Amino acid sequence: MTEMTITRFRELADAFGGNLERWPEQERDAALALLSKTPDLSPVLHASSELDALLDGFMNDAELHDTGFMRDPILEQGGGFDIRGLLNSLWPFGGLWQPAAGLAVASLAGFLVGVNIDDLSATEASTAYTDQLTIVERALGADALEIDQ
Amino acid sequence: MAESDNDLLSLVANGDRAAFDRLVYRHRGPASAFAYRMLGNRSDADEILQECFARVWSNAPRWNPDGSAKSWIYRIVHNLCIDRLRARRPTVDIEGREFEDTKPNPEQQLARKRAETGIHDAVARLPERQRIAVSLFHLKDMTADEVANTMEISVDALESLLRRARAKLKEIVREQQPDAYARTAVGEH
Repeated sequence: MTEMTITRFRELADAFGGNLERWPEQERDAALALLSKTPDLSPVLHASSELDALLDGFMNDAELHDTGFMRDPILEQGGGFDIRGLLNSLWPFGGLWQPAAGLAVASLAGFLVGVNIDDLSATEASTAYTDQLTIVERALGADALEIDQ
Repeated sequence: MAESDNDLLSLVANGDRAAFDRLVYRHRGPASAFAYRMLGNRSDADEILQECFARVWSNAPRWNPDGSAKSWIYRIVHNLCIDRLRARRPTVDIEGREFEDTKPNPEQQLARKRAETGIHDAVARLPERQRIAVSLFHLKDMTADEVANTMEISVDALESLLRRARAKLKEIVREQQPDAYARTAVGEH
């Protein structure tokens, strides 16, 4: 927290007015701490608040907020098929990377399963061949048979 | 919890029209007020507002999400207003000009002019940079950091602009309304 003096507090009030919440973030905590220890500073804020009230009223007159704004011409200028809007409506939970990552993982899992099924088939074929060989050996008198491999 | 401006602008960047509507609803009033106070008439302010949100819609995908969406939007308004002021004929000087009134009723116009002429004239007599700083800073919910970000200046530079502007405003209003100052002792400490 930066050091706050009474002089600095007055300077900030002169510049930023009487509402501490609008003061620069880096000065706010120190100013609050000084104000809590120095009640004599309250009138400084009050005096600045007078001009604040005039300027706030000047800038936030409700009639100035009543505009002739038209949204449709703006949205039309984008034109074309709004694919990103469609995707956002299908996935309204935040970043589109999440379903994309899910799809990628599912694809990878499918690929690995497919590869392993091929291996499994090869293993089964090998087992079937061995089984057939055993049957033939037994039929021919396996104990006496020597198979040249 | 309410969506932040950054959340909304991120959705707008992805083409979300509903998010665009919510963002416009939130900022069109203050942005319009700022443009009006900078330019002094409704039609120019409306044009600026329309252009501002057209740029928000088309440039949102290029917005840097690490920054402040609010400052980005008001920077667009600010830059458009500056361009418009620069484009005006040199003989047209915003400082000291008569601001058009927005009320159609003449009696109401007169009453409002009496109440507001002081601060209108005082702000209009400020140098451009000070007028921009004061106008932005006194928009609803704007903080010092957001204004500095919008004007692309340091907080220290903003402090300097505001201090000089407010000192001048107190002086002008004191000249215009000595009775009010005697009563409230505005700015005396």
